[in-house]
Amino acid sequence: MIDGALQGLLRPWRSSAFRIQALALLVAALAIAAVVLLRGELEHRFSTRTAEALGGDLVLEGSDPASAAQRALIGDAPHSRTQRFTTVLVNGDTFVLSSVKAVDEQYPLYGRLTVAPSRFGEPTVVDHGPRPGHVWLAGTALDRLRQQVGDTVTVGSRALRVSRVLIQEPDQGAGFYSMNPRVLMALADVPSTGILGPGTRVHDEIRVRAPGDALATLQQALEPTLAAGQEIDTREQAGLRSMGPLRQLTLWGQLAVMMVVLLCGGAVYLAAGVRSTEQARRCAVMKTFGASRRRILSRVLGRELTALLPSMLLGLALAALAFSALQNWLGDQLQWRPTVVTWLLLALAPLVIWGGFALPRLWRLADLPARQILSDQLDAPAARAGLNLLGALMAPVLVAMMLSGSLLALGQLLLLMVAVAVGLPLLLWGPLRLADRAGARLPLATRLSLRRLARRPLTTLPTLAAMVLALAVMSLATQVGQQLLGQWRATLPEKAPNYFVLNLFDQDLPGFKQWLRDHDADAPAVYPVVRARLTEINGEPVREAVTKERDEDDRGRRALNRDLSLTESARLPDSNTVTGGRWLQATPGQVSVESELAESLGLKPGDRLTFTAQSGQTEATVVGLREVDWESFEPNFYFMFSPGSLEGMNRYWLTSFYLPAERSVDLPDLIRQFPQITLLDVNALLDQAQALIDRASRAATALAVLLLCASVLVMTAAWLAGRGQRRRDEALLRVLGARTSLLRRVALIEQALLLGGAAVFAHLLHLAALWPLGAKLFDGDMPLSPVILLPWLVVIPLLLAQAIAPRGEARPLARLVG
Amino acid sequence: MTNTPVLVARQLSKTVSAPEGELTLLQDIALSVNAGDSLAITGPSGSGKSTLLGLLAGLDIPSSGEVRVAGEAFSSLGEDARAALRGRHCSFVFQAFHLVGDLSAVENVMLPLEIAGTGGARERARHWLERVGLGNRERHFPAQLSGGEQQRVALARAFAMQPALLFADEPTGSLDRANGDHVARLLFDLNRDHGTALVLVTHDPALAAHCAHQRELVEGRLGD
Repeated sequence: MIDGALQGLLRPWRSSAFRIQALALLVAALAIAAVVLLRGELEHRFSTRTAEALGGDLVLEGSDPASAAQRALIGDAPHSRTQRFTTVLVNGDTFVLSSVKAVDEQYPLYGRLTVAPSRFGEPTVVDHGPRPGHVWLAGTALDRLRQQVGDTVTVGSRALRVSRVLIQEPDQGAGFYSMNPRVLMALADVPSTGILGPGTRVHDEIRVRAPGDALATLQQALEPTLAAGQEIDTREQAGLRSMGPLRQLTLWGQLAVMMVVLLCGGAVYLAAGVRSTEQARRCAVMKTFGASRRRILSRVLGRELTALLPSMLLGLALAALAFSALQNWLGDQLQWRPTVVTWLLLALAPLVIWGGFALPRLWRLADLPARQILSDQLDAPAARAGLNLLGALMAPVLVAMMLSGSLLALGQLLLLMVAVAVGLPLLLWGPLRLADRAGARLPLATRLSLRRLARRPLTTLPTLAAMVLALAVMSLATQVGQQLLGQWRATLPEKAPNYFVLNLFDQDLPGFKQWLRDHDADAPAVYPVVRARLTEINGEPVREAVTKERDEDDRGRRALNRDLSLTESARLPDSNTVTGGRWLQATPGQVSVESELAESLGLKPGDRLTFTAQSGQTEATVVGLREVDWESFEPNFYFMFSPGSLEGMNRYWLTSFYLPAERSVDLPDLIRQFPQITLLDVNALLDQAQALIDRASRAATALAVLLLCASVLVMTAAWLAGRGQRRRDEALLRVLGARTSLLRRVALIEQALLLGGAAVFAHLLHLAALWPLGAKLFDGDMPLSPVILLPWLVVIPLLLAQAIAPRGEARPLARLVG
Repeated sequence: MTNTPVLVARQLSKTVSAPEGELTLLQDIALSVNAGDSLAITGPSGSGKSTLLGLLAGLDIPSSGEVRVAGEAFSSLGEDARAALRGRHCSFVFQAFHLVGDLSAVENVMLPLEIAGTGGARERARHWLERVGLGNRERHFPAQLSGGEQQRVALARAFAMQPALLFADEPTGSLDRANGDHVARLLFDLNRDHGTALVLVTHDPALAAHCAHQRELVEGRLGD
């Protein structure tokens, strides 16, 4: 019995068409599962990282500690309290202004801290802050204080022992301008420093761990209790601010996988046609002997499906293995655990593809007239066009839902897919007919090839459409991938600035530049910075000018609640693009505003803005709006003024530079030469970004390989589908006196027409997709690239291989007689 | 009819490997067909008629013996040379018609002419379609023609090359009686009018009776 079941499972594997179907379903299952699992992992990591960057899922911050009522609402939820304030560290007669964060024993709620046992020592990670009596200092603070780990530093009236060099906190954020050298100490030591008293400027923060729905509940409960000067930030608000690149990445991945699904669907469709013919005799015999329609269907479909299941599961298992390897490789504690429902959906995906693309063709076997058993020409009945179309449309829709998590999220992409899957074969039908007519007077070999293609539209069109799609997607995916990676790389050139410097004064500039030259350090630009608040828009106080409705993401309110860094520049930075109005002219009194902030504040060219700084007020007219690439590792500003606008106001200078790792030991010299500067080390952030690019490159390569596999499967399935007819035709030509060279020419021209035509139509599709894809992924900026010619790199080797491949000298002629 | 043999077969035999050992399909076959002559090979189903036709037409290779067409032996030729020899001297009519489904009626008739590089292929093809009564169907594709019409296109294709030798394998086997008679009449008329030697394989005694000579194949041996 087991033998019988095993035989039933193995017998279909003798058929090439079955093997193609099984492989196509394996590739589809692998691709879908890989993208769904990858997306889940990325979103989980992103969400966790966002919470990590925030220090918690929810942060309640204010100048006063949380009230008793608020503490009661937080209740037993894991939370951590910190206080942030600015103070002067003292070592003998050396003073350094520092940003202190005092943390309790629960800190950090998310992520870990990176510290070193000594300046430039090997970094290690820890999951707690300093113990009472200890303090951890940033390397630059040690440099300025001329101290080392193990020394004692005075904070307020308390002497604390320096026990670690602080390299990075998980909730460090990217607020460069508040970064005096950082200091981490125990919250329990704060009272004994005597620093905090009435009127001291301190940020009291409670970070709460509130996973899932608990976040919204807690946020709703806390909001009515907020006092003046208190506010709430959540991981969702923070995530919205910086999720752009992840969306691009997953959308692009989903697009590529949808193409893999369509191609595999095409291969399954063609192979199912062959399988249907192979099974026609069995079905006719069953019908002749009285088998019911139901029995035929359950027997034929049941066997086919049972034999296909292992390859579907193998695809899923391979994806799970790859996913597990990826999680191990990424390491740390952030691993996402897919739910049972996710696994079930993933197992269902290849079944849906088989159901959509193969089932309509196999289903019609039950309609085979019994009398056909009397005929030698047993052909499977053609499936109803409507049923085929319905299957071919529904399967990708369902898969798209699985990929995106919701139909709505992938609406546009799906429409594009449907248009391509249905529209493309229809569009290709016209040129194919035209070529057929034009070929009537062409030489024999060309005419035979053309006729073979044109007179078999049911095989030619899906094959051609699949090839066009595969080649177009290959060139588009390559261009999209290159452009995405290029964009990211552009923000991270080989010598991307790894240090930022603030608080340089006018008199420091010549000496600082000389130091950079002496140390082979590249510094792109130097910006003056004035700290000021936006106080009036067109003479009206800003709090009245900005409405809550317009300021949906709170960006405007955040900008108004703090000092902003204003700068002057004659040159538009590379990472900025003018989106409205114009760039600044040399006349003072003009300002260019970052476009999203301008939208939140309702600013437009022509508005008059008033800024108030400690050293006075300045006014400027908005002349233009800029889109800013915040992910670029360059200094970026919300407000950029024309040269001379900030004259007379207190200013310092800001720059970034690249210093090779081996020269970082010279940094203490720089600090000692310019003790007032703030030096920010972004090497850790750069390393993270470089690793992301590396992983994205690998993912793009893996997707390209899957696409290539899928397109080869389609070609093989098409070849199988036409194999019988091709053999009969060749035998007939032989009988009529054709030489091998003619047969070879006919086959080669047929392939050249099919593949060459596919390449040409792929170019057209590539051109047609440039605009919508560019709009979707690159804000409309997707230029024509030589990558469009990539299909020929696939087509020419295939044709060459066919041209030089030895041709079997079989003698199939005798099968024409008898 | 002349005494020049167009087709000669000597000591022809064919054996194949079977699970139970060597199986002899044909044994010691000898025959000769002169130009313009007609020979019917008859025999019950499974007697080896079609296998013999395949060997005589150079579609298959004998295990031993020799086949000569127009004085040239198939056995001394390679695949391409055999095809060329067939193209020059032989034509075929099959039971299953074997038209190229992707080509129109006229293109099917043109096919052997184009393969041989004969000039004016389209005009000649049209002439032969007229000759078999299908002048008005030249643009139709095989799927748009009835069985009888398809076989008439096959006849036009066979005679368009004005071959010295025509092999016909059960040419009426797939047709109803009326169409079968029509095709048979055409076949023998054309054969007579053009002096083509005809080798006809059939199990139909009535059809075989139209040929000048009949030989029966029984258990792989050809009777007198």
